[in-house]
Order: sequence, then C-alpha cells, then structure tokens
Amino acid sequence: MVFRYFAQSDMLYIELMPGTSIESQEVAPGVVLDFDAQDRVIGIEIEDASSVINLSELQVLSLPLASFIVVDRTPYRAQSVPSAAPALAEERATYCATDSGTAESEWQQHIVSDTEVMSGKPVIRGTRLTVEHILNLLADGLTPEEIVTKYGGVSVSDVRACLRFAARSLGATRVPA
Amino acid sequence: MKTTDYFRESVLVRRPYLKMEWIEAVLRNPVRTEVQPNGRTRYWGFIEELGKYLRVVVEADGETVHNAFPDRGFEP
Repeated sequence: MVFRYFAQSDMLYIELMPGTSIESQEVAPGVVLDFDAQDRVIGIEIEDASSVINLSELQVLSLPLASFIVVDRTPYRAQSVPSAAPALAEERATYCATDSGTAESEWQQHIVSDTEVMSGKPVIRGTRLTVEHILNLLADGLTPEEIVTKYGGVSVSDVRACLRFAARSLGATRVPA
Repeated sequence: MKTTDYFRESVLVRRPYLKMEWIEAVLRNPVRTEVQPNGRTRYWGFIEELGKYLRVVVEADGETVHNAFPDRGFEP
C-alpha cells in the first residue's frame, strides 16, 4: 500500500495494490476510485487533498507491517483543515522525541531508511545495522557501551536513537488479544 | 502537450494504455465540459477504440493536462 502526495497538484493517490486502472469512478467530489480488470478497487485518488485532509498526520494502527518506508516528505505547513485532533507538530509527525532531549534534526542524523539497504528497514545511518538488531542486542543484555565496542562506527547516541525510534513507533500499538 | 507531474508520474503509470491522441480528440471535440470549483476543467468524449467515455481534466491554464481516465460514472 502506497500513499503518494503530489504537492504541486495537491493530489493524493493511495495505491491499495499494484495494477492497471482499467476504469474509474468518482464517488464523491474529487474522490475517484480506480478499478482493475477484475473490478477490484486498486486505488483511491483525492483531489485538492490538502483542503479536505489533514496531511500532516498519519496513524497506522494494528497493521501487520513488515515494511514501513517514508520518503520525500513534503515540508510540514499548518493547514486550515478541521481535524479531530489538533494539528500535530512536525516533530511528532516524524517520531521526534522532543520530550527527551533528542531533537528532530539530531534524531534524523541517527536513523534512516533506504530501500537499497536491508530492504528499507530502519538502520543506523551509514551502517547496515537495523534498529531491530540493536534492540535485540539490548534485550540480550548488552549495554550501549558494549554494542559500541562490538560494532565500530556506532556510537552510544546511535543506540539511544534506536530506543527512542522504537518507543515512538510503538506509541499507538496495542498488544493483540 | 503540457502535462502535470501528477499526470506523468501517476496517471500514466496506472493507465499505460492511454494514448495522447485520445486525450487530444476529447479536448478537440468534447461531448460535455464542466469547470470544477478549483478552476480545472473536465472534458468528456467517447473513445471508440476503448469503447468507453474518457474524462480529461485540464489545469486552470486551459492547456496543461492533469488527469485522464475511462469514466464509469459518466452518462451523456
């Protein structure tokens, strides 16, 4: 599933599954469904997206995600769209830990995702060490200092950024019943 | 023909069968046009080769093609 926003055209396209759109239907003003040859809805197009949707907030709840990739984020700007929740600060939208002393810019210096590295899993910048692996090392009882010793080029700040990233990523997660 | 980034990077990717000659034909001889509240204009035309009505959306400048799709909901 892919959410792609075209800022210049103010178009949001939600690709539910890959495929060719054979036919389309506008189901509400500016909202068009794409159908494939099997008459399945494969995508949703939303025109004037920023005026009808709060594009600065995306919550992903209870999905069995194996991959979550954010690329080419459009700079945040305040919108006038009514929202059920107050507009999020940009820092929250990017999992920044403003309450822990890890500023957004600092956080982004540590953790990155690149589709060419470890299938896009979050990794420590400049390495192939996934956040998942670092968390497992910590769970195994290693201290941040021991991880730094074990892996050259990794700092204690990198390890702490992994923890902060994980904590923020799990903010809306629930334990399955 | 001018096109938006959305048309080139999303519309044509999802609908690779679209022919620019179809779009040009609709714009030359639409069976209906409507101006959207955002200034864009919709044009509809029947494409024999497709056997369907094609909706073409043009930017407010009147020449930049922004969208095009076989419109299931169009009733002439």
